[in-house]
Amino acid sequence: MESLPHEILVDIITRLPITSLMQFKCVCKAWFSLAQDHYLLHMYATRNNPCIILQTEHSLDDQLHVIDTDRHQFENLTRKLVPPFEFSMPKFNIAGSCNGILLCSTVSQESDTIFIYNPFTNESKQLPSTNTSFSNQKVVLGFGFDQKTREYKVVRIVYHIPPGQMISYGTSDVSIHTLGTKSWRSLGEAAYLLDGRSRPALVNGSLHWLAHHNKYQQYQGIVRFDLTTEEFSKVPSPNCNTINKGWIAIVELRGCLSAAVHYNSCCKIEVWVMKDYNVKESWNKEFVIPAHSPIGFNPDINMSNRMLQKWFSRG
Amino acid sequence: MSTKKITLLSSDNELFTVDEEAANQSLTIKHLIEDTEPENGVPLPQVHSKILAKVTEYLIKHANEPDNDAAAKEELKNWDDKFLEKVNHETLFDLILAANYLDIKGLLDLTCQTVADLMNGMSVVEVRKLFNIVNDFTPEDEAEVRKRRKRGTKTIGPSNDQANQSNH
Repeated sequence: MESLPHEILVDIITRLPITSLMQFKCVCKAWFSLAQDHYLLHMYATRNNPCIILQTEHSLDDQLHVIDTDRHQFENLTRKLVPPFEFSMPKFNIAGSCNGILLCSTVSQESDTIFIYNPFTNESKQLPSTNTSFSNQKVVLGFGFDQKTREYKVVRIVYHIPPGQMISYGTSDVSIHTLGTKSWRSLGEAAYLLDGRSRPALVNGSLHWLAHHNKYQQYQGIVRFDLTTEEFSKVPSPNCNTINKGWIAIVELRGCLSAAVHYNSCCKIEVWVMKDYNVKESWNKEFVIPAHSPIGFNPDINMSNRMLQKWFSRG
Repeated sequence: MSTKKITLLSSDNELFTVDEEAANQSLTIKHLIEDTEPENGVPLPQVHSKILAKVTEYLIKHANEPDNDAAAKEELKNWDDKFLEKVNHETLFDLILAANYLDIKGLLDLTCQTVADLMNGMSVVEVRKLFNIVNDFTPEDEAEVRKRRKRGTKTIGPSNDQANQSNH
């Protein structure tokens, strides 16, 4: 029997639940290396077989669980993931995700450890260190797939906070790392002050953050980083008038840039979707979720944001 | 509507005749007949008559795909299921290669999905047999790959009460 061409094999394997990939790594050496194939992971993400990864904080901090929605039986629906870096980095933050691969970093300011983790093959790789000082700095990370060069890239923005001053008056450094290379490339200063409290949304080959006012640009709204051109630019915000009055979480929803808007004054979350990318007029309010909360419970938009990101993130 | 006939020539010199509309589902055939039409049939030296018979059967059935007719779509889906029901594994793989070579998207999709459905629930050994793959891992390598897989995940199910509780 003739063997199947590589792309056909990828086509067949990506129709299986992603957990089968781990099982079939043992078939032969060629299939083992197939599991590391960037194209295969990209194909997985483009097929509609979502898988949800949750980071729990109870009963132990930073536990990862995967819910495989492709499994037709309900038994063994949830599995706990044990990352290989669990012992060297027990406390970590998921700074981004793309095609099912996670960007994990340490929460503390004293060290600068970043891992790329593929939960489905249980492989991780520590990124090269960046040789920067760790005092008084704020780090914003982003992770995505450059569709043009078919490379994964990690962008790291460091804001240096001068002693006794506000973050917005310091200098900044932007650097980028292409997976598979050995170093970081410097891209100079950041033109925008990005809100690093939530993970960026990866839409249309660009990472999207909320931006605050800073001394460089009197701009508040959505900023994108194009993974191909490696440049920052503005993206129109929804006409919901809440940038000052509430909180916005930028997320990806059905391939569109979306914003979950929480109003401080009234208990609701609106979900806005930009149907045509970069067209301000195409922002549309798709859902309104009432957010009535029990007495004594303080609605935490950061939490909602993280939940939304987890639920909306695919692959 | 054109009812022009196209003749296809298999690797073992058997002739198959189909409507041009049916044949055009194969982009390879469509391109071959676009410029010049071979007198003695379109030569398909990579496809045996046994496989080409199945391929033409598919092309004829799918020549007029229903657009909005739900019942017709359902009927076509049932036909697809039956089409590959009694096909052995070797023929199924040959059909994939033929669909790939002839560039018939629908047939490639159907055959790949059928293989994926077969693999679902198979063991590693069964998959090796299905794909006719020789295990080239040393026993030590394979044990290491399996060990790393096991270490990576831990199943939490109804049978594992303690883990279940911590998950709430």
